[in-house]
Amino acid sequence: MRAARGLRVGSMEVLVFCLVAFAVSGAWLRAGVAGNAMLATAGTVFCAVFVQALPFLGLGVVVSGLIAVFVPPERLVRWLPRRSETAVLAAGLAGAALPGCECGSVPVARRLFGDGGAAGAAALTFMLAAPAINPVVVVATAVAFPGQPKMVIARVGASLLTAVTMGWVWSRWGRAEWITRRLPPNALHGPGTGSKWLVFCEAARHDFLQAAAYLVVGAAAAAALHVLVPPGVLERVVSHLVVGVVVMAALAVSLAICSEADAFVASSLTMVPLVPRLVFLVVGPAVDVKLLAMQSGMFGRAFAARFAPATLVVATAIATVAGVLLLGGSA
Amino acid sequence: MKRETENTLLLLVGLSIGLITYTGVFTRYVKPALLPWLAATAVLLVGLALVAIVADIRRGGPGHGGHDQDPDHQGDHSHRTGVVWLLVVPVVLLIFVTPPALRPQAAARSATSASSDALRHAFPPLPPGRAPELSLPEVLVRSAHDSSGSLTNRLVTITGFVLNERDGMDLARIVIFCCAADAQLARIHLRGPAGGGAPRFADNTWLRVEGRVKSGAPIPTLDAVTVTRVDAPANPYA
Repeated sequence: MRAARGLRVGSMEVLVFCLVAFAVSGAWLRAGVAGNAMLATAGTVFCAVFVQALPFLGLGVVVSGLIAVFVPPERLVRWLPRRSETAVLAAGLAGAALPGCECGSVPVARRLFGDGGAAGAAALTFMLAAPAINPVVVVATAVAFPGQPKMVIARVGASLLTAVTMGWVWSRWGRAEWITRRLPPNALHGPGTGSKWLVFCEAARHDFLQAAAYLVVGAAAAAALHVLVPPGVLERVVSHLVVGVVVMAALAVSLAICSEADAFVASSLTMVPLVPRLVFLVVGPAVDVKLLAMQSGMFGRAFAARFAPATLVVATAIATVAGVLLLGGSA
Repeated sequence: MKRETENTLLLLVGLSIGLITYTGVFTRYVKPALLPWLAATAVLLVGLALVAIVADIRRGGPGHGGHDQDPDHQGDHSHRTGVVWLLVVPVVLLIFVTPPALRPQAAARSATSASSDALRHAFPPLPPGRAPELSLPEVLVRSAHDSSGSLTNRLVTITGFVLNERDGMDLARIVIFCCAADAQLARIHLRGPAGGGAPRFADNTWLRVEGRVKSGAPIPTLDAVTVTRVDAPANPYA
């Protein structure tokens, strides 16, 4: 974009140009999409996943905006128990009460983490639990998997267990020198000064833009999987438990879908058995490429390079076991 | 991406959701029950965008308020905003392209087997009337699992579209559980004096059929008494 600015062509001009071009070619585009069976199906699946997930994203950013205004992380730290083991547990359960997607929870966790110490492990547990098991995500999962309450229970249980396990792992083996990044003076969203109303709007605006952009990636992947993979092939590949779990964990890491929207992507993959889809839902909010980037930005590279792979292994293992135990029969 | 471009995109996403909600196009993608939520989402997004735009203007232009214009400063904020460009895709699709409702070939063909593991039990009796109106999925579920035989020798009315197969005509509906991405095809064989052979209809013709259901595995049969051509319903999915 730097070069573009040199030519005095900013992002706004590019956007306007794009929109005019699409508006002019709209009728032609519409006919082209409707006339091609593959494009039509892909477009419809994309729009379906995007439109279905958007109200949940909206609800999520409203709540995370309210948290940014009314529940500063400093206050959360004061509520935590002193002993690190119980603090980890409490942080996991606190995550269930505080909605927000993973983009929001990394900065909040960095605030909570402070200089490490007793709050450190609890902060990491909170970071993993908050986006995975909050009420918005639970409702979204229940809506996406109607008539399958076990899916919701398995997701919440496996995610909470993953978060608490990683908290304990950190308090046992974690090292302070891996944390190389210090907090920027104003770590929360955007221009943080101003009235509470503006802080709320700023946090909600910022979270929505980030999460919706990654939702586009997820919806596009779901659409591509629908039309590009011949029916039966994926079914045969993922019907093997281990292969299915590995494929879906890799998909969760690479797609980086917001946790408030990922249930709809998972429920659209009707050809995949339930256990690998559960792995997708447990791994996604805990570790993906976007979180890796955010964690190395806020905690430091040495931290992210150890924490993210460990989380991936723990989350995959716990989700697989939970899935086989709870969903095994219906898979 | 500049802050004002982000705000414009946010506004456009909100407007596109508002547009498909207003025109009813959204029923091609999700269940009609989502309408109030989509309307609220559209209002929320447009509101957030307007608040940000107005606040920026009050502060004397976006450059004074935010730090988004300086790419070097992004590093310690840890988010790259280039990814926000992806939001152009849904805006273009929802405003300019509006992909059509799913065609039957794109729906998974397992709507009948999905309910086969449920236990048989007695269903509530059918609504009163000579030929009560039932949805195709309901007919299939009752046919497979109803132990009280509520469909036996009862005239029912079913609406669906035509799918011509090698050995005859089927009446079908696309069923969505959550959104169009999980669509499955529900179908029933169409036979009998009015439905068999004689008046062949082209694929995707919408029909209202009165007839009696004969159970069968995996697909039951509808013995048609009268067949009427109807317009496609506003909500394409059952």
